[in-house]
Amino acid sequence: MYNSRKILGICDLHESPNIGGFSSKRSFGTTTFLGRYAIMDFTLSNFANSNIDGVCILVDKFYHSVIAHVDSGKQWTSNTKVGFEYLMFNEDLVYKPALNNDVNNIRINKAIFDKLDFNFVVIAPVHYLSSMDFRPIIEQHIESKAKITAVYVPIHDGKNTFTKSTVLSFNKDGTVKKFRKNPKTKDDIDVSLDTFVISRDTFDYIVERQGEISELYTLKEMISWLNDHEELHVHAYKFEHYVLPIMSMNDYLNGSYELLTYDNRRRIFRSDWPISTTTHDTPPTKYGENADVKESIVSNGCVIDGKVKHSILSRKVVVEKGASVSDCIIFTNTVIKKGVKLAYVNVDKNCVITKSMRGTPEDPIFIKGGSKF
Amino acid sequence: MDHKVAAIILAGGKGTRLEFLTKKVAKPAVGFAAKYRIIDFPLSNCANTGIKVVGVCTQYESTLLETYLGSGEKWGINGNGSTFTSLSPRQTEEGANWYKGTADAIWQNAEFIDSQNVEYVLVLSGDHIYKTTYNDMISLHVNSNAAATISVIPVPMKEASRFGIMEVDENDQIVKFQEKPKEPKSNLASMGVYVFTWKTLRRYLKRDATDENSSHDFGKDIIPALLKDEKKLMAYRYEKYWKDVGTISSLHEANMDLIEGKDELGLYETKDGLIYTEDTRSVPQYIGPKANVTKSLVNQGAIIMGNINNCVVSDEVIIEEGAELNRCVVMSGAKVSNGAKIKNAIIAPGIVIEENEEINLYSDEIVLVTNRRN
Repeated sequence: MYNSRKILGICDLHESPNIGGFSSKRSFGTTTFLGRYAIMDFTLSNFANSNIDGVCILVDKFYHSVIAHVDSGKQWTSNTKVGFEYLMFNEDLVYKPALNNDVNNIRINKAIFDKLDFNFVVIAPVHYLSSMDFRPIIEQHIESKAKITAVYVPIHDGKNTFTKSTVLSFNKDGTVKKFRKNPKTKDDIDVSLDTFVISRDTFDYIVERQGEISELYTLKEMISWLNDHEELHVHAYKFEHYVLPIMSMNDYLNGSYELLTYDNRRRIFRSDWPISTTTHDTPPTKYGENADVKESIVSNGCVIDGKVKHSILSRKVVVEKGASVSDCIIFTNTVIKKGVKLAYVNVDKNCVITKSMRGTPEDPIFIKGGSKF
Repeated sequence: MDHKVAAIILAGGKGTRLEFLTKKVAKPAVGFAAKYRIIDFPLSNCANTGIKVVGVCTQYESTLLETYLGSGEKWGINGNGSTFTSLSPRQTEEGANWYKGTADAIWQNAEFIDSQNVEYVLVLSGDHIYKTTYNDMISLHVNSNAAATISVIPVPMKEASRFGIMEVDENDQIVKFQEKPKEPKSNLASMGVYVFTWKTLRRYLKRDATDENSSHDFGKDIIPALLKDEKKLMAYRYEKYWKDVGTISSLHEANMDLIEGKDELGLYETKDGLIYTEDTRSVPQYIGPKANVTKSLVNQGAIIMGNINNCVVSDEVIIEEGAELNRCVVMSGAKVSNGAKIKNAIIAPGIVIEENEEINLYSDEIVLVTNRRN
C-alpha cells in the first residue's frame, strides 16, 4: 500500500550535533549507543519498520565510518533488489563546513533524486532516538493535503531538556506559526523533531529556492524561512511516545544511563519495533567465577571476571579479575586489566587500561580510542 | 580452498534422544551455546575453510531447518561463485524416495554434485560441535591419493566399543574398520567426517544403491566395501575439541564445557574465523540491580534479574528477581519467574517456569524441562 504511494526516506546526518568525545573521530550517526547500536540505527530501523524500503543517507563527514556501518544496507531493506540505501556525500564541500549542508548535498546528487520514483519524502535526523512509525504521519500528511508536515513532541521540562532544540508555535488552524530555538523559559513546549514529510513538488522547490535565497541555509532553516515568508502552511503531527534527544555529550551519557532501568528500556525498545544493526558475529558474553555485574547493559563477546556496576559495555570488552568498572561507558574491544578501578570514565574503542582512574558525575574522564595506559 | 570440493552436510536425522527438543525441529536446528544452532558449527567450518559448494541434506522437520538455512547468507556461503542449497528427498523419474541412509542421501544427490564439477566431496554431520577448518584434512587426502579419508579422534579405550573404530598402520592408513567392536584394538573413533574422491565414491554409491541387503550407510556399508576392495583409506587425526550432542546429557555437558575451564572449543578464538549464526536483532543483555551472574554464558536479548551460576542463557530469556539457577541451559525465550529454583537442567525454548517452582534440586541427573512437568 505504501509502495504505491512511493515514499523516499532521507536520513540526514548533516543535522547531527557535534558532541565531541566518542564522536570526534567518527560520524555522529555511527557512534555506538548502548553498546550494540550505532545512533543512526534508530532512524534507519524506523524507515524499515514503516515499510520505507528506499533511503538516501546524507553524509556530512567521516564518510568511511558510515560506509563501514551501513555496508550494503541489507539490514534495513526488505527487498534487496527493489530496496536501497544510497549514501550521498558532497566531496567538494568537506573543507567548506559552512556550506556543507543537507540541501547542497541533495543538490549535488540531484541526478539521483531525479531518477528516483517518489511522491513524498520523509526526512529525519538521527539525534532524536525513538521508535517512530512514519505511516500515520504520512497518512495525516496526505489527508490534510499539506505541502509539509513537521513532527513534534510535547514535553514538560523545556527549561532543562531539549535545550538546543527547535520549538514550534501554532496558528489557530493548527498549522505551524513559528519555528524558533528553545528559549528555555517555559517547561511545556512543543519540540520539533526536525522530521518532516514533504510532498515531492515542495521538496524540489525548497532545494531550488535555497539556491536563490542562500546556500548557507539548511533544509530545516529553509522550511522555517519559507513558512515565514511564503505561503507554505507547514502542518504539524504530534508524536506522543518516548524520544531521547542526543545533542550534547551530557545528553549522550544521561540518555544511556536512563536506559539502565528495565522500565525505561522498554519505552524505547518495543517488541513490535526491532532496531536492526550490523551483526558482528560475536559469541555470547562470558562471566567468570569472580564476576559481579549489577545494573548494566552488556553486549555480546565480553569476557567479565571483575566488578561492573551501573555501566554500559560494548562488544568484546574484557574486565579482568579484580578490576572494577562503575558508572562507565566502555566501547568495543577495550581491556580493563587486573585490579584497575574505573569510576565515571568513558573509554573509546581498542584501549588497554592498566591504571585506575576516577572522574565525577559532572565531569567524567574521556579516554580516546587506542589508548594504552 | 584451491581444490574443487563440495561439502554435503547430513542434517536429516530426527535426533530422537533429544526428546522434546526435536519434537518440532530437526536436531541440527537445536540451540547451542546461548546463541547458535548446532548446524552453525559445520556450516561455519565450511565457510572458514573456503568451501564454495555446500549442500545440506534435510529430511525430518525440514521446513524450519530449510527456512533457517535460507540462501546460506548467514555463513557467507552466498558470495560470488558460491553455491548453497538444501537437498531434501524429492520425486524424480525413478519415483519418490525418502533418504534410506547416509550414503543414500548422497547418492540421491549425485547429479547435483556432478553439476558442480568437483573432484572431492566432504561429508559432514549436521550435529557435531567443533570448530575447525578442513584444509589439513583435504590436503592429506589429496596428497596421499586416497579414495577416502576419515577424520578420527582418540577416545578412552574403555569407551571405544561405543564407536566405529579404525585400526591404522604406521602411516595412518586404515587397515580395518569395525562398527562398535566388542574387543576394540584401537581407540581411534570415526567422527563421521569424510573426504572422498568423488569419482570413486560415485561408483561405490551406485553399486550400493542396487544392493538390497545394504543399509546404505557410510559406516556400515560404503567404508567396509572400499576396504574390501583394498582401496586406500587414510585416517586424519583430529586433536581438538569435538562433541556429538546426541542426547540431553551430552548436549548439557557440551554447554557446560564452555564455562568450565578454558575455551577448548575456541568460540572466542578468531584465528580460524568465527562461528556465524542468525542475528536475532536482540537488545543487548541487561543485568539487573540485584542479579548475580557467575561462571555463565549469556546472549544478547537476555534479561537477568536473578541469580545464575554455571548457566548458559539464550536470547530473549527472562530470569526474574530471586530466581536461582545452577548448571542450567536456558534456551531462547524461556522465562524463569520470581523465586524459582532449578538445577542440572535444560529448559526448552519458550518454557515458562512458575513462581517459586523447584526443579531437580536434589539430583545430579540432567533433566529436560518442558511444558509437561509435575
